[in-house]
Amino acid sequence: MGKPERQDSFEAVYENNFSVIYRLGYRLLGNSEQALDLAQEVFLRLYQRLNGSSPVLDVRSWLYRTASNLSYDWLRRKSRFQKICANHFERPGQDVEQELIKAEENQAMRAALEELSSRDRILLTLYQDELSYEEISRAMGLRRSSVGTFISRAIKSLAKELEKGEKP
Amino acid sequence: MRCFSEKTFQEYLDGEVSKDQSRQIEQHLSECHRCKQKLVSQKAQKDFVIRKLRLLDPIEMPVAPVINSRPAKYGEPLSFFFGRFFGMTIRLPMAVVAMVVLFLAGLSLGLFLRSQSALTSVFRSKLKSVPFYISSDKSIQTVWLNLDLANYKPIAQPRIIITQEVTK
Repeated sequence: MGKPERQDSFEAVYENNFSVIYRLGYRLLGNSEQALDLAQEVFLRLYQRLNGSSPVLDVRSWLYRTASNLSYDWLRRKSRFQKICANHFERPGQDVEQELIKAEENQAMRAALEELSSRDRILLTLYQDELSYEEISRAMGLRRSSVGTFISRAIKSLAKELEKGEKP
Repeated sequence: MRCFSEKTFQEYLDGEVSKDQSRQIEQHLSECHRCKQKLVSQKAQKDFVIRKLRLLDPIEMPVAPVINSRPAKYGEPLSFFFGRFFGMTIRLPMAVVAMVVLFLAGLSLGLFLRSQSALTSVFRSKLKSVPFYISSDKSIQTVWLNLDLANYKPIAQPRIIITQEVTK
């Protein structure tokens, strides 16, 4: 007997989207271990949902939405106990100087991102992942027509923050 | 033609405008130097922000951890009974269809057997033809009577009457 649902099966979705969700988690949380935990948690939730009675119409948008919501929950919880610092980024680099430069850049980038609203941060992360406006609107619950406005504003404010950081 | 908004330029840069709109924008850009400058700076800002955001990408992507493709599904009575059967996923609609088909098959089998028994009852009835001999001086008449032996009474007119001449 053929298995027509194979393409949409949980295993296929997991294999195709794991790295995407991991990357999203890494950017938002800044830590590979937490990103891995996040990806696993997201897929566990998807598995439970698929086995329940509620169907998921757009799996990719659902994954993005759940991952971003979860990571913001985690960040909020974490910030109660400690300040998130860019030093949490680990780099298996060989060149110490290069590593230091990258760490500085990362720190500046993270500081600039933290000045943005959480909506803009998620928006830019999804935008960087080259999601279409339609997918972004579904993942974030925005109107399709307003995605362009939000993106241009978010880019503008991040660029402004980065410029501010570069000035002494 | 009036100038376009930042939102429209953002959509244009991201390839989210229709062909018609794209043609209109290009035509306008060929005429309006101010808008052209605006688009160039908007594109530069977009590229700058995306480049900076890439800094937050993980250096190494982890391999998706292998998951148990068929985890135990406890606590879900339906999937406990109909979960998997010879490696084939049985879902609720399939189970319902199977039950309906089984019910209909059972019903039609029952009706068939019932009609069969009505037919065979003719052959299994206690109808017998019994000969009676009525003799006189000149002839012997044989009268076959149809008898229902269950009720010990004739149920029909005599079937065959054979008259034989008696030769003395």
